[in-house]
Amino acid sequence: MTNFPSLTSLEELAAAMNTDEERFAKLGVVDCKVGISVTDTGEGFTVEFERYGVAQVTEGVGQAEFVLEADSDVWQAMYHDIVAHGSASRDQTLNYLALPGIAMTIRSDDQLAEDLFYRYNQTLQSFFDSAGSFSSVVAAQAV
Amino acid sequence: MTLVSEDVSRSDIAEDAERAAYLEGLSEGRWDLRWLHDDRPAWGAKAALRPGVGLTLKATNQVEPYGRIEARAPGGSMAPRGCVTEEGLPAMGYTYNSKYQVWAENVESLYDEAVSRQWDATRDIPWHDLEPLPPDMERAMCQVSTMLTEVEFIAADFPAMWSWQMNQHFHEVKLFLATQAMDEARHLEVFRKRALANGGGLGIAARTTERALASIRAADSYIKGSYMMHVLGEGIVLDIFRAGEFLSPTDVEKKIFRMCMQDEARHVSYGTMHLKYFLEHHPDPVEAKEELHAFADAAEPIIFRVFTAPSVIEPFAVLAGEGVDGIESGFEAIRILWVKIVEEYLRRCERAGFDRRGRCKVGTAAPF
Repeated sequence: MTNFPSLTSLEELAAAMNTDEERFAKLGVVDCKVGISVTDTGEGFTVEFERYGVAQVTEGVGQAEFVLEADSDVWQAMYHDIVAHGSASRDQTLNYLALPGIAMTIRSDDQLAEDLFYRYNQTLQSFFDSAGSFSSVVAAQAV
Repeated sequence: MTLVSEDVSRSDIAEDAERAAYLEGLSEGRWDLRWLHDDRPAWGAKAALRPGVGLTLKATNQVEPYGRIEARAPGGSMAPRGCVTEEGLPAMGYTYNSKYQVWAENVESLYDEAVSRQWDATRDIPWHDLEPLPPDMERAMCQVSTMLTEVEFIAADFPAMWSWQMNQHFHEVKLFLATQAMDEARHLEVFRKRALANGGGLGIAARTTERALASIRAADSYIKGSYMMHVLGEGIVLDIFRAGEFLSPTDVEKKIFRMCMQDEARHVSYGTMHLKYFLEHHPDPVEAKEELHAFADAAEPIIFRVFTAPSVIEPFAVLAGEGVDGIESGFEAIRILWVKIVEEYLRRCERAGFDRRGRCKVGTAAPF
């Protein structure tokens, strides 16, 4: 899963989240449609979170309530950091990257929709951190 | 007058002759059972479960007539909405009996979300990962924790100040405010704990901060208090929690700020949507909006002034600059934060149909 973000990689993360309901249920219900945009390639995806998991991942960001925008190298660096460390390091969390002037932008016409990023932050981070569990699988397979 | 009899006998508890006869009949097996055969209740209610989640508050409001929320509460007692009421129920003296005075369109789902996303300041924060900090950083963190504990006191008091004045017909709002009180209790708990957990202690309570908190307490109506608390005050605090990413010396503080941020965003969301509902449903919206604008003219400087007090703003800058030697670069970060705070506040006001751009006297650029 090196091509990140892609429809396939996000679907893998969604599958991981949906099979780990106990962990995500502890974080609480989540209802939002998050856009993921790769600014330099023009690719975009929407992850529709529902209940304690993901209902679906689709291409395009038209249905998203807010969009996380970053260049592909930012997404890649975040992904590789998670894979390397099991979860995002301090300067690779969504919340850090999306601070003003860092590397990622939260875009929405509606401030309340943008505030969903704050309301569900720990769930969204845990969703991406699921990539960390893939590294152990890959490592185990390599051994 | 004794309100509760210490020696309750049958004659004490019989309200009238009819009740006395009823009590007398019980010993002879003469049950009343009219409630069992009463055809007035809307019987057959069956709220749908949300698969994998359970029975949500929102789902119970899909059931008629229980989910029918009147613009004006039909009674003033504690009778649950949708039940059959006997004659002569006492009025509780509620002040807020109209829906527009308290409601927000997202309040049911926010309550469900709040209940689902609770956390524990004792167990869910990795306190064992705290590590000794340089004295200036520990003191700065403790000073920030002191201020946030202080701020959370009013945020915990606020829901309690107003909830009891709201008609039970709008119980969803009261439930949500109860979650807010719990959230804020946890926040003041977690920041007090942080101040006492790492060899520091509590710092200074600033006069400017206390005056701002007193102003929130002194609001003379729920809408003014809610605007000042939920939209203005908590909107600012939400951005501070968010900035915990660059204010936190360790992962412990980061976790604290992130968890608090989620809660705070719910309160801001309710406040914004309540403001919107209020303005859209007020019987005299033009006058209501103008009165609120006049209130906001006075409230904004009071709240934003908190973030000019030395004991408030300098610790933020020291944390952002990773020490007192980096305070200048830290102030650069705080200036960026100020811009973000003001912009998000103005956008939330716009979302509520309460355009403060061009009227807000607080500059979009930091005054330092």
